[in-house]
Amino acid sequence: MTDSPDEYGELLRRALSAEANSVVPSPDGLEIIRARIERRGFRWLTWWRTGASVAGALLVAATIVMVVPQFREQVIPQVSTGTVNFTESTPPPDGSATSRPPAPPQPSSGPAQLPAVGRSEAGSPTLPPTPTPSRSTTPSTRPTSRATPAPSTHRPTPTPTCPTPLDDPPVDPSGISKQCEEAEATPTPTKTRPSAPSESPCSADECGPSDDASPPMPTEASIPAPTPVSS
Amino acid sequence: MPLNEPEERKPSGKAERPTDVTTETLVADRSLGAAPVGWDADMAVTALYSAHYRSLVRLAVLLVRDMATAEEVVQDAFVAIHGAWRRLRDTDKALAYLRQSVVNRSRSVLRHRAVVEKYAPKGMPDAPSAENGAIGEFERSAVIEALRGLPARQREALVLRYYGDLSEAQIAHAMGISKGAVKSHTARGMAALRTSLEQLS
Repeated sequence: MTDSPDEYGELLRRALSAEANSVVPSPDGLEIIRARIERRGFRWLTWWRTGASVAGALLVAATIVMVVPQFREQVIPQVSTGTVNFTESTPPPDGSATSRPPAPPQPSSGPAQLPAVGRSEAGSPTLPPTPTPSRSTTPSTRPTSRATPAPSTHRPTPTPTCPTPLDDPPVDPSGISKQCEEAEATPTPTKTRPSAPSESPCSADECGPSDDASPPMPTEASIPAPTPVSS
Repeated sequence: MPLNEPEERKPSGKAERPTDVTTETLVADRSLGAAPVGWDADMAVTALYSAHYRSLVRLAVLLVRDMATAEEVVQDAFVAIHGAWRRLRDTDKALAYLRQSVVNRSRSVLRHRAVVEKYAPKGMPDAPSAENGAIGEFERSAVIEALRGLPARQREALVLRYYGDLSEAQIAHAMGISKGAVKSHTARGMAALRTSLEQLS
């Protein structure tokens, strides 16, 4: 009985060997394997590319998210500070309107010109806003404008009223005073005249030495005068 | 049959066993030796291919009964060992890795084929080749047919034992089962094969 399994085993062995020997693998098996390996590598490369692109997109998005808020935070304070400076630097612009509230109490008193001037001398930073309204509405503000332009002689405040006097005063202050007198005679500056004469506490000599001081009082009168002279 | 068989016991009748190249390559890892240790994956795959590709394809043919599928299974096994070469701790066991991979993939192929055949219309049975008819090896074809009728595990155990000439331990490792299960599958497979061959004769 024990021999029968061996007999069948041997029969099975011979049959399997004969069947296996009839099998001849294709000769290009190695090339196929290498091609599959390369494809597998490309597949990994594709996954790597996909992952890298996704990671890059996430990085860019994160960068934007991180940068934009900072940018906003930086821009907002800059704008606020910029507006303040702008009002200070340029008295004529309307930005001074924001600073008017402090000014009204000053003009309330007509003869308050002197205190206004004193304030301007004392606190230069608060004064800048006042000069702008001074020119158009009240004379009291103009003296303040004098104080503010003092640091910057070429400030525009005098220019609108009388640009020429700025350069001329050093040349001939007396002539400026004359021109101012002539300007009073001329009709064109009449609109601004009323304010000018009221402010005129400073004499022509005073206006002469300070180029900036000239704008308030003499400027209005001098504006028309120099132009005809030069012409 | 002796009761206490050693673990590495080979099938009886060694002296009468025909010495086939396929059997030698499947049994021994001497063909590679320690050379693959310092090799990279490409070199190892090339060496393994030249040494074991044919035998592995024949093993796969006996398992899956299809030449094209057998080659594909073996090629997949080579691609897998190429990818896992760096993780392979003992490169001397590359052949064992390939053999186990071939057996597992053949099992997957048969499982998939069983599902397909279950729902696919029945085709014409395979006709014996002209060579088989000419040779007249009725015995051989009968054994192969009987082998194909066995369950997959029993067929694997018989093929690995009588064609691959592997020990029970190696068969157990290749099939992923215990040695006792190997013995059981082998004994049951041989009994079923004997019954079918007795019916034919």
